[in-house]
Amino acid sequence: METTLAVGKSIPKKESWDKVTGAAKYNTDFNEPGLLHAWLVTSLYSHAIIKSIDKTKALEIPGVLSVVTGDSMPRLTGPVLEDRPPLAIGRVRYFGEPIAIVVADSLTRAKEAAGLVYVEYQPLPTVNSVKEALEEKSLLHEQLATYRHQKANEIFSLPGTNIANHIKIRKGNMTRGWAESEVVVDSVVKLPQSVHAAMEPRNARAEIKPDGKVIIHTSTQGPYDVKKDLSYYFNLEESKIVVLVPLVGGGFGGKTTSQLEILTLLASKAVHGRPVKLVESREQDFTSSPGHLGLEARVKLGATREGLLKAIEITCFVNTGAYTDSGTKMTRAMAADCTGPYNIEHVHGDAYCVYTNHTYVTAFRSFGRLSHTFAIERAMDKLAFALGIDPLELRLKNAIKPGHFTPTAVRLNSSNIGNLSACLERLKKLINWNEGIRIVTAHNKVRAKGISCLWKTSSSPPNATAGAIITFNRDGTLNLNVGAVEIGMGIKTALAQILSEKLQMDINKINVVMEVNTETSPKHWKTVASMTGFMVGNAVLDAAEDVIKQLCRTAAVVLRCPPEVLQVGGGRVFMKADPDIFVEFKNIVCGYEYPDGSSIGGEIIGRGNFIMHHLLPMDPETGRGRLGPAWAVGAQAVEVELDMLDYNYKILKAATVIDAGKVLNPKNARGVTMGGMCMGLGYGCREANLYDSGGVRINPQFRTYHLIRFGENPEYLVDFVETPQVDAPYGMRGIGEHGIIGMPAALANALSAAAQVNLDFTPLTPEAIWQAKKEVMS
Amino acid sequence: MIPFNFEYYKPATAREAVDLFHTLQTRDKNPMYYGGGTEIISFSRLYQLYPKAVIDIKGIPECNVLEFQNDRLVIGAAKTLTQLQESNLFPLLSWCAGRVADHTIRNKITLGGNICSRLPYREAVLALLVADCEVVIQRKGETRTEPLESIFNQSLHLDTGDLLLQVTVNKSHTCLPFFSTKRTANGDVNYPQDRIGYPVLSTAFMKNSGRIHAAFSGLCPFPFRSHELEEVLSDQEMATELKLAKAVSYLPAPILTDIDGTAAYREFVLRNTLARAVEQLEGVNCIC
Repeated sequence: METTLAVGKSIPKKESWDKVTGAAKYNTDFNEPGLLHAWLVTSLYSHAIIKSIDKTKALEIPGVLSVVTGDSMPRLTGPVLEDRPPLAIGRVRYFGEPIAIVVADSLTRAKEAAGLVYVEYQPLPTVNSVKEALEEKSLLHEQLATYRHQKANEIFSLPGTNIANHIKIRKGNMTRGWAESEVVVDSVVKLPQSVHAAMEPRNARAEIKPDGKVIIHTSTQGPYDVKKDLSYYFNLEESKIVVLVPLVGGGFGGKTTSQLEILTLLASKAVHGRPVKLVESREQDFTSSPGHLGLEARVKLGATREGLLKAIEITCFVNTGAYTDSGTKMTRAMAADCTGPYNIEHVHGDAYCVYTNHTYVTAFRSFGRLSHTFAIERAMDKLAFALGIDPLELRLKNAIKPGHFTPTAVRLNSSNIGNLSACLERLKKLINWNEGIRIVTAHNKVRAKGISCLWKTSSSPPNATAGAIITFNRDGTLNLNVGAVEIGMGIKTALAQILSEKLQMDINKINVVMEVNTETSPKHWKTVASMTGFMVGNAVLDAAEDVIKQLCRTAAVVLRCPPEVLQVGGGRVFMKADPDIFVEFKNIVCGYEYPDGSSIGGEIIGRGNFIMHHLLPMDPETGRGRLGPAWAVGAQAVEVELDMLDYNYKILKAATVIDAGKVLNPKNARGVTMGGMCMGLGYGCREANLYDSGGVRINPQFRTYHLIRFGENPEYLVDFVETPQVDAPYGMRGIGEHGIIGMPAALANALSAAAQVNLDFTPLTPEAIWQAKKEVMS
Repeated sequence: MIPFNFEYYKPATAREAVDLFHTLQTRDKNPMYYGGGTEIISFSRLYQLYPKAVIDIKGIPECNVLEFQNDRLVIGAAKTLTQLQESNLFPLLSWCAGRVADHTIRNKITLGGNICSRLPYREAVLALLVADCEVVIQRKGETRTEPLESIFNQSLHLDTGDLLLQVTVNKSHTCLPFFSTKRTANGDVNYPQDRIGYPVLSTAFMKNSGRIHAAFSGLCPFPFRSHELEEVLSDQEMATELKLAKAVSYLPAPILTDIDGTAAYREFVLRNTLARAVEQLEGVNCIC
């Protein structure tokens, strides 16, 4: 589809001026008279019985109004499996778990009083790893069998164990698969939990108006889920709940689930509905709120001598921490994409969601694929080595294509899978692959490259929806109102571009409502899964069609012709055959007034919606089903320089080629991809939640938890292939998360090649490489 | 945010500061001298420090000197690490101080604060130890000057209420040849700084009249200079392999294991670094 005006142009984000001048407001920037402040009392143990909570001293502090504890809400919560009390009830299951909320008239007093809430614990054995969970060193959830959930086709828990979910993939015939495999490699990988580390820590404020209306101001990716959840947990009509979301300072999946919204509402209830604000400290954001999953996985991969993949057996153990939240869903998502973007006929996959006494997890950029891809891509490199085939050629040979079937038996076509081979070919040039994987340079240094492929579809519910409303101003400019949250990726601008293109009008004449207000913005499922451009974009196109129809109807009367001969563009409705015959938007959008003052038409209001179609839950025994509408595929590479004497290394280059369908905004696409790559490299080289033997987090702050810093970034090479997804706006594919997915794997492959030792874990610190080398040599 | 109230004083003279300290002490205020405030703020917000009064030393003239006076470089305790770096009057000190924390924080951290830090690293001390510097201390009723090494044993040993005013370095020592490294869990930190983190090993070596001076941070729970180790490193006759083996046996405490690195890895890095230092400093002379 040819696009001319806005789509495919690097239009600066509409909120940029506010952001770069510091004028942009985030949720915690808002204060109001009478606002109360809350501070959390959190668990000092990873697993313990709460024997008593003494609030006396805390309540003696002047200005302290309430100390709220678990008995104020004796029920369990969770987006899928309801296993988590918002405030601990009788027992804590992770270090940092919220036990009480202190509400006071100032933050200082709330914080001071929180230090005076005395909790008496009786420690229980800590389940400190997946291994200890499977050995059932201790059971975290004895009542697992009784936990409620509303998704019978998603949850297959094993009561009496620490396994909250078990997802199976059974495709083809394993006996045949192994019989056809002449070479088999076996690979085990281990990846730690980590944190989202969004710049804006999680926060919320709640208020209950005298008429019972609940107002929640929050930094979330899922305003409509917050509304739905609070309605369900507190037994309130949805019309009594308003959720307001300004610009969000990063989320990376960490703001997809309801947590602080529940806590602030509890706090507000305890003080007769007065507004209460709760802002987590960095330490609390890292330990009390959910983080990123850990994974231990085993991959057995079989191929012919020519390198054609024949069979795969994969077992994934997801460390979901103390509660499941999105853990069960990510386990399922991993299973659904379990082969990586390769055509494998015989597949046997098992994914388990495992409880441990670590911080619980929620969605994290890529929804599990980052970790799972590491397992697949390390196995692919080992297979290439065993076969003596170039790793890139092996991937090309097996790249998934139209006509193939996914692990969940979805038949692929060009629209829903794109072109992985083209990505690999482009990557090959970009990273200068042909110069060699490992090159010895001077002074004991080697330069080496590693690659990884990636794919991801969404895991949205089959009935996920999005809406869009277009209204006009008297001068013919227009307002676009959608439920998508602006979290830094430039979605509001992308949607304006889609609308600008469709109406063929200047993007500067389109005002996008930046905030989301669930009372007035049309619902959008949530701003996750790289699906917002696809879903809300389609709703915007639908709303634009509606607007065009209405504009042409009024213009037809004015121009005395049938609506069919009219066209919209440049803020006018004109005759296709003779553009000089036209009427301007400003003369018809609020009704057309004849010279004598009589009027027709009326205000034009566009409405559009979108609902997912043909998605099907997975079969419990075989995994057959369709989780998302399409995949985005890509290939990535990392080039490192390793010092063979002391294992210090530099990341020289990182490259990504993604099939973006259609690049809506080139600079923005590059930016969001680079951001993902940087995040993936950080996770690959240094990030990990560290626990002591008692399950206490020992690096819960930036002093000890390091991210990649600005000056450490490599040269980024980013390019796109464009194979349109035909049911998406202008053919675009969601690529917001994808930059992160293959980076840790590509880094591990590059460093494994450089050091000539298998590195099957993260973080890949110089010490860890030294250790791996030492083990091989001894 | 600091969740408790405290008193703030900013005296104009060193005497006044020390007298104030003692007065506040008798009133159970648990006073602390305040330089850049990075530790007082970041520890107090977590209740890891609990001063009821702080005495800001940035108004004291002696604490704000940074210049050569006769044959010595005089550095006030309130000078920030960034100021030391930018003046670059003592290059080795620039290297050691310039890899602490990050630039924004170094705009706040003072030399006095780094020397007296509660954190085990205190990397600016390394340059001062190898350069045989002296410290000027304000005590109740007197000002005293002492060699740093005589009162720095794991940490700076001051009597309660004593205030570190200045550090002075022999001018000729500021331009002796040096070699300095820093390794973090994530790799080497070069100078100018290109990476941030606590040291697995941070070092300062200086060569004075054929003898190698050496100080280390990150290896043990405190920074130190070891004369025995220097003896071994400076020995012209000994083979490098033997030097390394001997040197490792002269450490003042067992090597640290923490989240940044195990003892075994730190020893590996130490050996590599010592070998490089010996090689680098061989045959080099004064850089003035």
